[in-house]
Amino acid sequence: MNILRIAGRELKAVFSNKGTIMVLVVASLLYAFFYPLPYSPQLARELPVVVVDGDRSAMSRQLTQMADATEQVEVVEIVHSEAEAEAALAAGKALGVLVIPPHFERDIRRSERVIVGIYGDASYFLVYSQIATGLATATGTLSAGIEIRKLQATGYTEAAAYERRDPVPIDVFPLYNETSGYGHYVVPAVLVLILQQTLLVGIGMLGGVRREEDEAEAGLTSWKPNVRRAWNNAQQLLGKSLAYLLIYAVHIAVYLFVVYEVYDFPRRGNVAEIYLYLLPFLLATTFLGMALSTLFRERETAIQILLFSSMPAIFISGFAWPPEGLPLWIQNVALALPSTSAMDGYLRLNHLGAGFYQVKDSWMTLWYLAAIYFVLALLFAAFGPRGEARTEKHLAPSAPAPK
Amino acid sequence: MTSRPLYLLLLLVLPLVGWGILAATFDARVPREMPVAVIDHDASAVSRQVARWVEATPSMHIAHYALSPGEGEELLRSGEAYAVIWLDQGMERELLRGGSPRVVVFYNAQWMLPANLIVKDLRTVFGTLSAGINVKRRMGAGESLYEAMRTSEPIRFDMRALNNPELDYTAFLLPSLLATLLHIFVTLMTVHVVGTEFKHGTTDDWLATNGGSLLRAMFTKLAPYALWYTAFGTVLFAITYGPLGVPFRGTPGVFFAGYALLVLAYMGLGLLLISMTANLRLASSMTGFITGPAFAFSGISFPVIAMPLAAKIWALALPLTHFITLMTHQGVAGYPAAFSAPQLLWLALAAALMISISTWRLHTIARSSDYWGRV
Repeated sequence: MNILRIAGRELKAVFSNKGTIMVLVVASLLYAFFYPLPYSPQLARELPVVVVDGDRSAMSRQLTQMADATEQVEVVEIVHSEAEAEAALAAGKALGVLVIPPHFERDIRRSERVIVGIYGDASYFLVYSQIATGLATATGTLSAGIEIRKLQATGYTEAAAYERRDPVPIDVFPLYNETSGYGHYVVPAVLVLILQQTLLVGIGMLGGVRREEDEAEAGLTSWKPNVRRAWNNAQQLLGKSLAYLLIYAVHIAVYLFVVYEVYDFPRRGNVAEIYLYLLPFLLATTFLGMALSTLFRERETAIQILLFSSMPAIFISGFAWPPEGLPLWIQNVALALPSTSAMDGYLRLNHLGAGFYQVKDSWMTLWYLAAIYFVLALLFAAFGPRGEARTEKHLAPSAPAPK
Repeated sequence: MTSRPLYLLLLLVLPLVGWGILAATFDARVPREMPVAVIDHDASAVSRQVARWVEATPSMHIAHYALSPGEGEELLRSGEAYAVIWLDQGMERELLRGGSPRVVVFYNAQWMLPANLIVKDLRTVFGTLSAGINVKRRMGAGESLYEAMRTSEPIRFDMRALNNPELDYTAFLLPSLLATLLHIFVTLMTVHVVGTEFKHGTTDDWLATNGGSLLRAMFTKLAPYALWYTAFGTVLFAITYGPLGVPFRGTPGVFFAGYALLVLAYMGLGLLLISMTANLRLASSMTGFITGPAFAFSGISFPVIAMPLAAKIWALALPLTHFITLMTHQGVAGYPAAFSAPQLLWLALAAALMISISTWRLHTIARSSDYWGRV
């Protein structure tokens, strides 16, 4: 069949060029292992804090030990003044400070109000929230123990003392990312983005190679306005996209069965449903890649133009920053990127264990994008930049044949 | 040069597009009014008060009243709510009786940022409720208000976010994302302008028009880009720290010196990559590999000290990490200028090292046609 033949030829083209092999095969796999590396500990544990112990009493030492015992922080130094603590913060030796005021123990015994200071470096958010949690937990636990003992001393049973102390306790259950692991949060969405970006760059690179090599292939790459051969062009597009679907189906399998194992990510989705869900994503991305590739003059152009786009794409996708916080126009720009809907549905299917019916809307969005970018690719192929550009020779006559 | 739209794109248009989108993204500073669901099985004055307090928090908006925990979880899975607050039957009765009814909250922890903000506000809501009831009960038992306030919660804490008291995400993310964007374009551009000479076999002409001197050839080719990216980046940072209202509390001169050195360091990296490969395509791909994920290693999203050793080494080898440290110290934290000396030194060293090695290497390869036309 015609389409299969075109797919075969495209695969051959991809695998006979070092640059495209590197982007479409090597980079898409290498990134998937390299990117999660910094986040692999999942949590920032035992962050360094200093304690300003203004009391030097048994109770202040107890609080210091309790802080040290939390998993979030580690007490690296006990200092005498806030100035010393500030110096430790500025020098990067500590990321947080616990200030225990003078007369801490005496005031507690006299039931005077006692306030300890908890300061965390908020120039890094994850650091601040870990330090705040660790030090607040330690302080809260000590405080609760003292209050319970006092209540017991006035005749309460232990259970009644707990009830009296905290009449409306809340039980908080994090779902889907139960340990609140940072890697679990960031990496799955980034994997989807890696698929998109390497596809766009790889297809764009092949477009550049063809244009450089003056390849006058029939149909799609023949750079002449060509409305009558639209059917032929459509077949070209479908055949070529089939080639990329095959390569990327393998990548997805590697992600799901190797990367997920290595980094211990949860897999809650049905594999067939995940493939079904990602099908229009890969199609939309491929067609977008083919539309863009008509604009690239040289093989490097795709990476030069597209490299920066990963960061905006992540931050407007709605997973790193909730869509409720985005201006409307940004939300619309985000919807035009296949990665936005792909990340959302993929995370729900595979990490939240959602049913397919719960992701149907974003799946339909991906089909609309596939249709739009298919038409766009056809139009660009038919009316895109014409042959004149090729008369401008890029390779100097003195240059030896490309290796 | 100006005939190619590529230069206009890499020098001006794409950095502006990237920065514009990111600046607009964080325009709200902190996300607000995120949808949550309440299961009110108590339907009492207390449960309605809780709902009103939840609605009054900055982070939450009650978008749904679910009938069961099962329905609540469906809302989480489909994305219609980030958290479900379950107020069980008998809550008010239990409180009046002097007991302590538990409240169950479950939330979507996969979307970490909304989850953190919502849980923080929920703890405040229920902490306030608990404290109020506690004091009321003690007063009911005959203690005075003063006595009751004093003996409930013997140790309190005063929690402060140093350096970024507003917990403003823009201050935290936007400048570092801008630096990351700029370092990508600086490296790509350097690789391109030198790499094109090799690809098209014109290094001869390039040297000849500079009287055969490689240093002069490098200077005349690269100085305009160094100046442009330094000036252009400075303007973008000035807008970020000025009209966009991101706080800058340090020494502008130190920041500027750091940024100028960042530009030089990444021009150095670009030169290094192209001089080692003499292949524009390969060096551009390598630029992608190094600069693309650099933000993840920079310590902004996840602290460098918590990374595994291999990631830590890679992170500390990237000049960007050091610049972002300097930027955080000088920008949001406002540390004295002297604290940034190590970062300045490191950036200068990285720039000098990479530029020297690539100059030495270019001496060999720029004069030989063996290195032409590699793709």
